[in-house]
Amino acid sequence: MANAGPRPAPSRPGNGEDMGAGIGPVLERPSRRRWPDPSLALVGTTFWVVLAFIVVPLGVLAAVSVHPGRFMTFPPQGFSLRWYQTLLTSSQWLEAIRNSLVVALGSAVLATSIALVLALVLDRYPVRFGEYMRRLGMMPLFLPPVIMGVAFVAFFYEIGFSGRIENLIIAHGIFNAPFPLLLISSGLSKVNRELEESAMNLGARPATVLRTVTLPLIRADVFAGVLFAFLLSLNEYIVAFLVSGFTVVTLPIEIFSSLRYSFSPVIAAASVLFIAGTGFLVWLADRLAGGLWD
Amino acid sequence: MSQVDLVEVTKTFPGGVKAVDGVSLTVRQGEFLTLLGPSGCGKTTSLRMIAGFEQPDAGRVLIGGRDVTRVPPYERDTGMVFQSLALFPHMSVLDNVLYGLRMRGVSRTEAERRAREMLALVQLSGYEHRRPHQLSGGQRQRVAFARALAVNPSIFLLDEPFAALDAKIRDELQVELRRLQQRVGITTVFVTHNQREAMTLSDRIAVMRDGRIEQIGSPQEIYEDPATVFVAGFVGMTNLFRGHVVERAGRRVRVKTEEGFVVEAELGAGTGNGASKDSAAAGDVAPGKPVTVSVRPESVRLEPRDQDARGGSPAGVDPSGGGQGGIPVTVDLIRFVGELIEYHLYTPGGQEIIGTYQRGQRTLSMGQGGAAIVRFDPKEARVLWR
Repeated sequence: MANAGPRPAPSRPGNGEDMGAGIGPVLERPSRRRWPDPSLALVGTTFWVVLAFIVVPLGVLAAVSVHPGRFMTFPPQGFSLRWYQTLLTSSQWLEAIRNSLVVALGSAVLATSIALVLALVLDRYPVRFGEYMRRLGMMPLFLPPVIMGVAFVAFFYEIGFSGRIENLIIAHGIFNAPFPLLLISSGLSKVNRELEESAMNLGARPATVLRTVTLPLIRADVFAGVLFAFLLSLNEYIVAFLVSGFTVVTLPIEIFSSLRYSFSPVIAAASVLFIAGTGFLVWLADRLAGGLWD
Repeated sequence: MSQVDLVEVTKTFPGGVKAVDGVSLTVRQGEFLTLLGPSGCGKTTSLRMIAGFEQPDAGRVLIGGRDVTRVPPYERDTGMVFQSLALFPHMSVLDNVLYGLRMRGVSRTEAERRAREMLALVQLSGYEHRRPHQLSGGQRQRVAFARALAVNPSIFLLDEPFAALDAKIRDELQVELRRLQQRVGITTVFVTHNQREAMTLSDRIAVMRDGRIEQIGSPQEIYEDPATVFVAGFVGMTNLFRGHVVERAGRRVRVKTEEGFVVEAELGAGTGNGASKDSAAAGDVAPGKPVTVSVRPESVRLEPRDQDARGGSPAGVDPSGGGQGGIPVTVDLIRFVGELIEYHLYTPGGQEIIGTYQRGQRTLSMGQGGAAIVRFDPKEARVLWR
């Protein structure tokens, strides 16, 4: 045994495998290292600092919105809801809010429909170039909004169909499709294939399986997709600005152009309203995601 | 209720893995047949081809004599219980059982009557409006049975349905499944890797390995007359002695083991009957041929041996081939396994032999480290091809 290893295993003559495995060399366990306390403190501090960076500007904005004067001022000199009143009575702002809601709702439904069809087809059927189709669907996520916007403008101009609210719905519907696509694809991947096979075994044709089993099981993801696309459309400025061609004004566009001519607290009031709406939708999405069928 | 035939069925998956390789099998009307084998042996793929979820590359699948090879699963009239059970989580227990009936266009009242009847049959009356996640593992199992059988399918298919249950509930449900199957009288194909489960449930067992069927037979035939060494080792415990044939007289064969002990064994009815290619005909067993002798632990007889005898030739043992000399062993370990006492023994060459005895059957004076001789009745030992 000239070349025996550094740790010769105990062996019995004649029969190594039956008994020899009893006692091996006891390996030293590496003692588990604890995170030193300074890093923990650093993480904690970072958390609070980041939170402050998010919350403080919002707080300032809310404070500014109740300032009674004609220009945004911090800290506010007094308390007044006059800018909220202006916001909700001015036809200009109301028009913007209405446009924003119509575009957000329409494009959310469109984006989720595109995503649902694409996700279902790619997940359930062996499609040629399926992976490329998925990447195509995800592309708006990686392209700069300006380029997407210019592309849409050029396209709608070419087909002689510009300056209409439908354009904005279509543009946002395509632009925001990646998010519902991600959500629905991940939802589908969690649906146990045996559930669909089981339905088929019980006599359901593929279309019936989709309607009675697959869709009900991913409806939470579909709803989350709609909400997500809705929020993104509501908040989107660049594509909206380019595609609208000065004829359709949405809330972000109105806020932006108002800032150019004035410094009125009504902008802050609009922003606060905006944040409150967003917050409500996020809360709703959170609630729906947890218990859509219980 | 009908018969199932697989005719020369082959299935290769992308990547070249041959999951099922020329399997022919008939499941008789009303029979409970188990496909038994280790994972990757092709048993689940075979079942999925009967259900219609996999298309064979070659061969035909017949249900009730009708060729269904190209018929989609939703037109096949099989009732399947999946490994994950696959109960619809967004439906109540009742809706789960109703699903298949509705798909078949049964009227609402009739469907509900039938579904409640099925739930009563599996002792789940009163649970109609629960959701699957509100049930215990065993209850979910029974819902899956009820759902599959509610549509009155002609074939009942089960894919390792007990895998996720603990031992006690598993035992109860096995009994329940068998009772249910016999009451409904339905042709059943059951897939499992658990040989105990296969033994206790089946009318017949098909032991599979590497996409082929090694042997088909009743549990008793499989156990007592394994066709191959694989079957002998997979179904129940066994002791295997490799050696060469010394002499043969009819079914009785004398074999010299690799350690030089001579043992006698018999050719079983199963030898050579396997469908597998490596089970050659029994007629080929002749002196000089390499064979393996299989002896079940309960056939191992243990007798005390004089420890002072000289090492090479212990008392009563004739290594030169005198016949019923037996094999000298030392007792290494004694285990109490419920109603059995299990002896772990070692031959001089280091081979382990396991013998089991009913508790209280007889008292053996040998303790750990004691010397003994192993003998067995040739009628209870089988000669197999290696």
